[in-house]
Amino acid sequence: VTAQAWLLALTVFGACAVEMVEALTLIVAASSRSRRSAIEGALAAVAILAVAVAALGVSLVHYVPLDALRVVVGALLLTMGLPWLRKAWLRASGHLPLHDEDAIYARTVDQLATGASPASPRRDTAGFLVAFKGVLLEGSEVVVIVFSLGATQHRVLLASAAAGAAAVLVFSVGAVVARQLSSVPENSIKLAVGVALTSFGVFWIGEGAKVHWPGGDLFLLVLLGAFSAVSAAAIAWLRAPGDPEVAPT
Amino acid sequence: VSATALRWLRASVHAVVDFLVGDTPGLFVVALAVVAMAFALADVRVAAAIVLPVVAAGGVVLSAARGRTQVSGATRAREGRRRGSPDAPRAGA
Repeated sequence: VTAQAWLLALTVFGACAVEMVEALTLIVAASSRSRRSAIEGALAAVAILAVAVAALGVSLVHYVPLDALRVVVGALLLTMGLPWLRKAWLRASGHLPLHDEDAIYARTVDQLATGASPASPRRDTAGFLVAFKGVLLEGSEVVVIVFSLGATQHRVLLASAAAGAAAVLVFSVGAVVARQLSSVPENSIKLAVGVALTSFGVFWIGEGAKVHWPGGDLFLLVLLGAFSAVSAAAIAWLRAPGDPEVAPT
Repeated sequence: VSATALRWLRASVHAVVDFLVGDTPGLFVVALAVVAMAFALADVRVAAAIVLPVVAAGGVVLSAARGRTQVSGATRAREGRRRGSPDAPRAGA
């Protein structure tokens, strides 16, 4: 197994874990009205994502020329990685509040409570929709990351396995700790995944455009080191004294 | 049927634009710039290896610096209103 395969698996695992934590918060909140409807909503979204993966995945890998695929995939990874980096820097430097799963849980439960009571304790449309939408939105990012990284390296199975492992881990832990999802160090994971997505993005755009990287594939490690160093410097700079930090809410 | 189809089409386009651009259109432009520069510099051996990461990193630094300024301005405005100062700048101004 090459270093690039490990990097691919870790990146997909980290990205999937972050997205799954966010989705699980909404599912647990929706369960406060009807557990059955929340689970059905989540499963319906997973089914739609599975169909999208089967339909898009095969055509992407078999019918799109590899160089074009690499450029498009690299651009997609950059469009996701750059905003993740920005947000992680601003959060780490105190200019944006950290992602608070407890607050999101409480807000979602409040919003659901203001709606009409479920007609039956076993069926709840609002809870179904909250779980469905949460899993569909967060899952679509996972699908893009799995196929982007997997297809360009012909390792869709490895990427899918890493995503599956992250989903199993998050949902297993979530089933036990339920509402203690806020203890997951989400911003640190997001920062690491942002660095990896940005590095892979620049690397694959270059590969697709026939750029000759010094050192070949090993240049990916240079990119990872460079973006990590820039992140550390940027966070330190953004934390510079004199900047008012975000007020507690 | 056509009105429903149009509504679905609009929603789909909106979802794709939101997914790609989101609330940081500047970073989407940075990603496009990296693609354009990769093709422009593909034959210049070392230049692309230096320019592409610098453009990507520079784009995020600029965007984060702008984000910090916006957050700082909003915080100052909130503090000003809390103290009841008539000269306090408004958030987003």
